[in-house]
Amino acid sequence: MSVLGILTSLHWLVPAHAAAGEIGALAFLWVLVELANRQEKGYIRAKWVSLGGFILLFTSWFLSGTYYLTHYGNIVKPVIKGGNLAWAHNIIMETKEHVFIFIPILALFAFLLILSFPKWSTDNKIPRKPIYAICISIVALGFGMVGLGYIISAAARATLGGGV
Amino acid sequence: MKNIKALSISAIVSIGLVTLITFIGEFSEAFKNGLKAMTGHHWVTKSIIGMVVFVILSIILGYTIKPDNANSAKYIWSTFGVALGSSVVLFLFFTIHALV
Repeated sequence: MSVLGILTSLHWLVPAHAAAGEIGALAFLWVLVELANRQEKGYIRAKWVSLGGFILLFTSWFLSGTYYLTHYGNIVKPVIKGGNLAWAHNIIMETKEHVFIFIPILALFAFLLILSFPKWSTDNKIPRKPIYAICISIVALGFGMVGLGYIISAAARATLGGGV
Repeated sequence: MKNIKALSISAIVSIGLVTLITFIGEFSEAFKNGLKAMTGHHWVTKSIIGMVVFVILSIILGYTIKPDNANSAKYIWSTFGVALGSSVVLFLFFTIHALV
């Protein structure tokens, strides 16, 4: 199978986009801990981890977009919309796919914010609490996407009568 | 410290714009088709618009508006509020849109 074939294979796309998204979201939990510790080395780690988190979340965006275009829209969406659980697409998936767009933007914003400060120590006036809030929102939205994805896949399985 | 004000405004405009064009697309099929015509899918167009607007606006505003470091916290909180608010509003919008 070619690289393109692997990338567009359903068996790889679903776990890969979820894994990249979850690890990317967890990276911002790591960033939060490093910033809260207020150590200079921790600040340097936070810069690199936030960059890595952004790259992972951007990758997740790319992979989930590929899945959405190659599989979901053509196969899963008609199944869900044709059954009794159409709300799983009309409410859950519509919300998921649009809120998802915010996450890489917030991740890049967080990385650039952290990069903007000369150092992360107790003697300068860095607005810690709002930066923590941005990191928490990335983690919460990232894991919220996982929960919404579970509802959507459960709706598809239930509509098909798989009994799982 | 660099220009936090420019970064925050760019993120707010970018997230707000994605939310706004989503609403418009749900009410106007012609608008949604226009978004689709740009890249092949409306979601891809919205995603690219969001990221490109954020990056380009950050660069432009970074050079054109004065930093306001004393109020950095206020700008970052505003970005957080807009991101969270837009997420909640989108959920409520699609819920009402599906039920009505």
